[in-house]
Amino acid sequence: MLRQAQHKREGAPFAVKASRSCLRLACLWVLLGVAACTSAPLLLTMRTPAEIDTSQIQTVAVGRFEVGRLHAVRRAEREGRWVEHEIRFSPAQQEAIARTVRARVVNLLTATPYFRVVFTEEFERLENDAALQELVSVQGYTVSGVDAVISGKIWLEAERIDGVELSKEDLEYFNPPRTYRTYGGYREDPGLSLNVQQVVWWPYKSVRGTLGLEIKLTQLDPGKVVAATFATRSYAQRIGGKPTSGFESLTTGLQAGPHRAAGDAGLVLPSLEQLVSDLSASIAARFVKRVSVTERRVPVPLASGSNETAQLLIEVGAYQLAIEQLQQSTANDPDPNDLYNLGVCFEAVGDYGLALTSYREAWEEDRENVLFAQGIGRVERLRRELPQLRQQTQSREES
Amino acid sequence: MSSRLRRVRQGVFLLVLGSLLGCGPTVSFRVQRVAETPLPPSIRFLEIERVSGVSGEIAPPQDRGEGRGFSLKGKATALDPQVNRFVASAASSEATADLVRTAVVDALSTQSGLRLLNTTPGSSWLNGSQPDASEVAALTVEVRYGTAQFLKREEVAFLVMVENRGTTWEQQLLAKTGTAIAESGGAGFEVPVGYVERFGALEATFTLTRKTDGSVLLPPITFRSYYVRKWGGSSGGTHLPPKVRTRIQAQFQEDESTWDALLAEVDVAELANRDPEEYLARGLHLRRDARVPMLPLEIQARLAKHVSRRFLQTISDTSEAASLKLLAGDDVALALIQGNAYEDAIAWLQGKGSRSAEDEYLLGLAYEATGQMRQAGIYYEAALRLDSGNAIIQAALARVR
Repeated sequence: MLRQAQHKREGAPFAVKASRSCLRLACLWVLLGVAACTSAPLLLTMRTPAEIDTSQIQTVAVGRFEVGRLHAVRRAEREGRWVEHEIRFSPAQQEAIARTVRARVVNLLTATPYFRVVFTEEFERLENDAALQELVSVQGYTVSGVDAVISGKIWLEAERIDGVELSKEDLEYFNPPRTYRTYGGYREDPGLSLNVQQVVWWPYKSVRGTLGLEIKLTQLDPGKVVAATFATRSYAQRIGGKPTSGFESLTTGLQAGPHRAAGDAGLVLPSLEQLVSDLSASIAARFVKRVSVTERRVPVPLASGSNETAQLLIEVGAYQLAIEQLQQSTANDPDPNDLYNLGVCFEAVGDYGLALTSYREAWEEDRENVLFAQGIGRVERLRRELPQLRQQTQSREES
Repeated sequence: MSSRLRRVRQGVFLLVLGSLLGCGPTVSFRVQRVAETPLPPSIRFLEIERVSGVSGEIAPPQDRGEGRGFSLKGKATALDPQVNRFVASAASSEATADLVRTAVVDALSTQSGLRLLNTTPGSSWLNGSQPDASEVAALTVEVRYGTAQFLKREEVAFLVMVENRGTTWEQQLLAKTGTAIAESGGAGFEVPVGYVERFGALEATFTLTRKTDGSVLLPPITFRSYYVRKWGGSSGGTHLPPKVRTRIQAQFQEDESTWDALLAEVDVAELANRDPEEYLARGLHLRRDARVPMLPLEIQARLAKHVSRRFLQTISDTSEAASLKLLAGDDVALALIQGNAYEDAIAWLQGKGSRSAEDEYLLGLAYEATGQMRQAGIYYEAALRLDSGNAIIQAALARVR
């Protein structure tokens, strides 16, 4: 039987102590600390080569996403007694879930400029991975102009719990001091200020979903497994329950940041369809990042140079004008901060050789400056990745 | 008074947190890990011959001296029924074998130089890869998976008090400590509380043979991985022998420590601002409330990935992200390394007349960051000759050897 906390007692005001405001402040402090450490006025977009080279693949046919396991259960718990209700999926429902996952993968793959996706019954109707390998090995397919087939396998589990948890809470009892009249005159009552502990039952509802997804890209001719990845993602949310405390509160506060920013107060648990969609989108995004050239935004801090106009021009993205300004000013007065900012401009327009020269000139003036070293480090990394990136992008352009 | 006590406690906590979150002298890059038992260079292809699940008993984790320190988690208590052995059934092992297969394929596909001929055991080789069979290694994996979950109730003791808020915070602290000790000893009134405890033990034996003659390339090697966790109920109560639970948590669940979780969340918040696409790809936008019980599939997948990674590390060179400590050597080199300008750091340190142990270590680190492991080893050795007792240098040398 569910018992609710009685927060009021006859004749005495009780209130659950509001001690969590300090912890919220702590969360804010941590977030501010993070923001201070990573404040980046300028974000440069840079290309990163694919982890797995798929430069020979242009057209991808969509194959089957088979179901490894689907399991969902609802549980209820009161005073430690558990009741379980298993949800069974019909073959049609299983197929629908597999199609949802596949759609999310295909959507993200199509969104990249590197792949063209085609749907063919030939690969979709195959029963499983072994059948696909058999077909590819004997070149028994009829479709032409397809470089590879994308296929997958799904494992999904979900659990909803409707439960109750207990905690010991401090309830404040406060009876103010007062003066009252007696037959002998006036008497002082010092009052009472107590903490009364009470066990409180807190109802909650939670949901957890886990999706395991194997995604495979099989090249047709010559037949080979180009990429095979397996990733799992989980979603866990709880509403209600006892208030968080200590570390829990801090981590929950940090987690809640992006959700709250997106207007999600976290008061509604997602449906299974929503879970499947969110989880598969994340795994698909990871897969796409592994098999295609991606763009990442790199925070590039600016130095406080003497040429403020140039800094403003950089901040608004007018790099060529900033270059002209900074080249003029550094020719007369080679301020290392201006030289560094000149390097940032060259980096932004993709002239990495001149960027490195400017960063090195700045560093020569102040060799212990980590900011200048970071500029050199960024260009060093780009130059290391450039041959691989060039090969991956050129082979696509050629074909 | 009690709220004042909490503020003091939170103040101390914030100070500790602040000192930990301060930008320490570390550098992050992918470090190379050399294969423990590398395959002969002639082996260039791998075929998955068989991945099967079998029943049987899985040995518990070895005692490495865990559980002798002080623990804040309260007295460990054995819950009924006590599970003293990890027994794998054929059905659960067979289901897990498929996850081990896919985790092995993932590991081999992304980190190994071996080319995969198939991804499903027993299927045909793909037509474009008909290599000389003597270049092919055949992999067989035997999987045992023992698992159990308990959704039950236990009696948890609660000792409630009435405190006079007029007392000093020291008196209140004393009273609270006394209550906590008495409560952990079973004093107070008992209330039935629901809990979930789930655990899993995975044992995978990997064997590699040459396809042509069946000669052994990698003799059967067994990796085990375990997981145990309880949600709700008393923190000390468990269905496993308490010592076994402590060993599992110490050896296999280091990533779940509260500090690590907190610091990871800080990194996550930073990544959300810096690279939203990566944030999405890593699934960090998904809610991950630690109070919600993990599912059996998550535990299975976690253990499957662990044994697959161990297998990969055995046969193939791998790389992994690491945050490495910097030693206070040359200031210029230190700045360059902190800025990831490793090539310039090498040039700067090589041009230096005499180098201290710290400088030699920084030079080794710069070489390691650029993937030049042999050079890194030479300079780590030089650093160790100058400062033989330095644990950071010793660890660096062990890493590249």
